[in-house]
Amino acid sequence: MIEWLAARAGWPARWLLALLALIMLAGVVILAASIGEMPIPLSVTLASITNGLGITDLPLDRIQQGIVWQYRMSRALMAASCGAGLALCGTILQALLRNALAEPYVLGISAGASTGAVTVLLLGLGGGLIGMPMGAFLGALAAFALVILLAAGARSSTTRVILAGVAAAQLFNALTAWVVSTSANAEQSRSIMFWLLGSLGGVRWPDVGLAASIVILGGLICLCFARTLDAFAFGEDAAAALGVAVAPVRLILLTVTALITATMVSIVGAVGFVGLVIPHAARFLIGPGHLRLLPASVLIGANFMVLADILSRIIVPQQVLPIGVVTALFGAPAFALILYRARPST
Amino acid sequence: MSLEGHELRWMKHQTPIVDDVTLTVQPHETLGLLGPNGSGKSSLLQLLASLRTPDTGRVRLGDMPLRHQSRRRIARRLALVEQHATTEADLCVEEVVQLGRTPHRGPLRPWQPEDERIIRQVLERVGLAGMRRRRWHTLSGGERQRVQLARAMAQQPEVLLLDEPTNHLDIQHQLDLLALIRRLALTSVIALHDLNLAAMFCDRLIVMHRGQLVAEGTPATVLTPALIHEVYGVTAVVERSPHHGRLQVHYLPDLPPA
Repeated sequence: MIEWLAARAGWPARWLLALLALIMLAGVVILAASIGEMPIPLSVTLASITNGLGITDLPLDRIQQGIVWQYRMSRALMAASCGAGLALCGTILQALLRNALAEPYVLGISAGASTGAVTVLLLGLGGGLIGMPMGAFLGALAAFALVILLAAGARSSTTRVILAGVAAAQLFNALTAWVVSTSANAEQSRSIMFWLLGSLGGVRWPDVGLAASIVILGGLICLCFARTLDAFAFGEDAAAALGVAVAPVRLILLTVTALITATMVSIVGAVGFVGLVIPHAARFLIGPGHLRLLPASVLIGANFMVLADILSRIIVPQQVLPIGVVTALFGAPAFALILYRARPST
Repeated sequence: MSLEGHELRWMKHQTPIVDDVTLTVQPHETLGLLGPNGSGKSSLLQLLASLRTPDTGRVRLGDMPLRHQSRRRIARRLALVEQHATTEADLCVEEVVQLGRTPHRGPLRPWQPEDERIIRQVLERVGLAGMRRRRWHTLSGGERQRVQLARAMAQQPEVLLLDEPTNHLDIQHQLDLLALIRRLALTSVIALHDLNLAAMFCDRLIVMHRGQLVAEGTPATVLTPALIHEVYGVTAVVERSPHHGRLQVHYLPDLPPA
């Protein structure tokens, strides 16, 4: 029904869909705050949230309110920001590189960001002057540069970009493993392993503030380039012939992508497949025009990631799976499907 | 609007691909760009479209030098139809043609009735009015070229550059497409392989060989047996067709006995 609405109806229905997605997002966030090792009734959850926002001042169990607001709300909103950001990155990369399989994880950018973050964390590189997010950002940029270099510019064939990404991911994963195995003690290794697979544990409000503002800012910038991204449909030369200043546009958008990826990796770790699968789902629902596709990807990505987080906490009783495991369990089959359906260039 | 290239030179890996080419396309003239594979036709078109920057030399569009000109200003006056446009995106005909409005629209300016009018007009002109919602991937080669031509026309250019637009098309679609381009009466440069089509549809021809311009003029002065032999290495006889009055090239290879 959603597909029917999206394809046929004019702008009022599309706004309605966007509104529905927002309401659904609010719903799953509240659900996420209520579900957990200690189940908290929805009414208490809601009251805790309004208390936390400072709208109300209801008398509540301090522990319950603390769990909902300090722990679960920040976690749910971080999941939403992360899903939105990664989906945005995937949409941008798929358009710029004209490749259905492009996304931060597949292209090794997440791996690069992990290496950067781990290097700063364990080796103390930068003498404390650069923090983990900065390390992740530099790692993401390095991975980006490597992929573009290996693929000899985006003019090359679509397979080469992906092969270059695979090579970059291998290289950076090896570097990360090297750093971790030589410099971390057993306790550190375990927590880093967990974080590398994607973990929303330990997320606090300042992290959410950072991630959300980066995603919102990045999203607004990308939205200004929506038409420009459409013009890339037939390649960079075709975009240039349509009046797009290709080199600066590519630089700006790749930087935004690297920045968002780096922020997410430094807080949540490398979460795969969200950036790959969500843009395809959004395109399937709303079509290829980026003015609609970008907001749709962001909303679907946010919803998906909060739901994935809920799943990661309830699949195995008394245990929290890394979020990256859950997204990969859904993402890998979807990846295979896309690979199978991807048309050879004609 | 005239288009001029002056002493254009472009190197790739220390090899000159376009070597000291000077040409002028007069307003409303259809110029045929001939030459064997790898002679530099596509590169010359890319230089003229300002998609590559020449190492030396300059391009002028009317009285506007193209160097340091914003891409958007160029795209409003000059459109390019590539040889073989491909996309991964699942676009429909209408969406491809709408791309032609890109240089006329700001990043957030909504779609205007004027844009819609232009889209409808160009689709009608290329005979695709009834196919607006067809998916690009379901189109035949001839239809795709017409969509790309409509997209180029939606840019409302004064100059049109076409890189072997008739490649991979059957003969009917080749003739239709070239006749259509002729009717547009824009200043156009068409890279072509087929010498007979060039003689039929172009006002003037230029011939490139190993990056250099080796002949220029009306079909009658350019298409001589000597030049065809020199550039293509083929023996040919050229005569005026008694049927359509244009030049006709007959190739004379070693034929098996008829």
